[in-house]
Amino acid sequence: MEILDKDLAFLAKCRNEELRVLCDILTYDRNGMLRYAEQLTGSDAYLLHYPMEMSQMAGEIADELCKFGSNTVVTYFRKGVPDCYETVVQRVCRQMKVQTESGEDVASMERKLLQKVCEDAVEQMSEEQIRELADEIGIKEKDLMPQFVITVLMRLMSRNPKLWARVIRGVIRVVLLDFGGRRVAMKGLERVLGVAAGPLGTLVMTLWTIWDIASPAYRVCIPAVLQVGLMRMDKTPRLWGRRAA
Amino acid sequence: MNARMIMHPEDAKAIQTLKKLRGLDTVAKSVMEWGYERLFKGENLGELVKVTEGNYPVLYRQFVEVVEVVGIHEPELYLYNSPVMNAYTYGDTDPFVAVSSSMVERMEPDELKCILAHECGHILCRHTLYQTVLEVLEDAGSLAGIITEGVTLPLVMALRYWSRRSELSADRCAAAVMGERTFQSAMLKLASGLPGEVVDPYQLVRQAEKYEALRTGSLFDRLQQGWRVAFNTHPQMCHRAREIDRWKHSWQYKQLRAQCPS
Repeated sequence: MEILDKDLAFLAKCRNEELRVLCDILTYDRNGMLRYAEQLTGSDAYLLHYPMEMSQMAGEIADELCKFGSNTVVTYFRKGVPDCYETVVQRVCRQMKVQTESGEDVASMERKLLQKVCEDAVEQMSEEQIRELADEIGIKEKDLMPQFVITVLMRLMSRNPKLWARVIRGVIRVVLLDFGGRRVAMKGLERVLGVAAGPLGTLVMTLWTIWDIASPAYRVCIPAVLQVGLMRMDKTPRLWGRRAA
Repeated sequence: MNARMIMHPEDAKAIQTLKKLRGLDTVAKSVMEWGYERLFKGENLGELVKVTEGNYPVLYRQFVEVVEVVGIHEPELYLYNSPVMNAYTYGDTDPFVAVSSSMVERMEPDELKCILAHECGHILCRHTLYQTVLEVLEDAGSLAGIITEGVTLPLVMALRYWSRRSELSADRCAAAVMGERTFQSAMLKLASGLPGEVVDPYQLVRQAEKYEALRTGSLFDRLQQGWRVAFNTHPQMCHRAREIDRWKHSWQYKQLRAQCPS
C-alpha cells in the first residue's frame, strides 16, 4: 500500500527496527497482548513482511496509525478512510495539553510533544533519579541542569528504545488516567440524563456512548505519534538543529 | 511449539478477553472435569476403540510423532466407525482425540498426520476449555427454552465467531507440522470426501478468491453470505485453505517449518 499522507511519506525510508517498534506499538499493548481493535496482524502485508521487511508495509502502518487516531464511526462512513496524520497530531497535542498554532507544521507539533514529554518526565523525577539518568546518558555532574538533561534526552531517545519507553511510560499513564477519569464522569452524567429524559433520551445517550467509544484511542496514538516524532527527528536532523549521527 | 506462534490474531484476542473474565477459567474447568469430560470418557471407553501400539501400531506411531512435534502431553487417541470423515478433541485435564474410520481409510499418511496435528493444535491453544463455555450456553438455551436461548444467542454467536477463528489457529498448527501443501491436500479431501492422490491441492485456494469476489460484491452479498455462516462453528473450507495460503508467507510459518522434521 502506498503512503498517501504526505506527512508520513518518510516512513518508507525509515530503518527496519524503528518501523518495527512503531508497528508493535500499534499491535501490542504494554503487557505484550494483542490490541483488540488492531487490524494489522491479520493483513497480507503483515504476514508477508513482518518483521524483516518493514518498509514494505509502511503504508499499512501509516493507515493503521491514522485509524487509531480517528473516530471509528466517521472512518466507517468514509469507507475506511481515516483522518489525515496532521489532524491526529493536533488531537494528540490537545490531549497532552500542548499549545499549537494554526497552520503549524506536523514536525513542529511533534517536536513540542516530545519536548513536553521529556519535561514532564524530568519533572516527575526526584533529584536522585535525575542524577541516575544523567549518569546513564553521559551528563557530567557540573552540567546537571534540568533543561540540559531534557535536551540530551530528546537527542538520545530515538536511538535508545529502552530509554524512550522509560521516559514516556509515566507521562502517558498520567495523561490517560486524567482522560479515563473524565470519561467515567461523563458516562455517569450520560446515564443520569438518559434516564431522566425517558426513552428518547436513552436512545440519544446510547448513540452518544457509541460515539464516545468510537473516539480516537489515545492509549495507542499518543505513543505512536511520539515514536513517529522520534523517527522524523532521526531522519531530518536539520529540522531539529543537530547533525545526523 | 509455542501456542502464540500459531494463534490466529482474532482467536488470540478472543481468548485474551475471555481470560479477563474472572473465574471463567475455573468454572469452565470444573464443568469440564465433572460434566462433559467424564461423559466423553465414558462414551469413549464404552463405544469407541482406543488406539494403542498393540492394536493399530502405524496409526499410533503417526500420532505420537505429531504429539512430539507439537509438544503437548500425549492425549488418548480413539477410533470410531463412521462414513463421515471427521475428527475431534476434548478435555483440558485429560484431553483425548477421536478420529473416524473413514478419515483413516481415505487420507494418505501425511494428510492423516495433518488432521491429527490440527486436533493437537486445539489442545495446545486450550480451545477446549473455552469451547465448553459455548456448549454450556447452547445447552442452557435449548434446555430452558426460547427465552433463555434469546438471551444467550448474542453471546453464543460471538463465541461461534471465536470458534471459527480457533479452527484457523488449529489449521496453522497442522500446516506448521506437515507443511502447507499437505494441509491443502487434506482440506481438499475433506471437502470432496474422495480418497486417492490429490492432483491439484490448491483448488480451494482458487475457489476462495472467487468466493471473496462474490462475498464483497455488494452490501447485500456481504449480509447474505455473512448470515449463511454466522451460526457455523467451523469456517468454510475455502476460507481455511485461503488463510493458510496467506499464512505460509509469515515468519512464524517459516520458523516453525524450519524446526519441524517433516
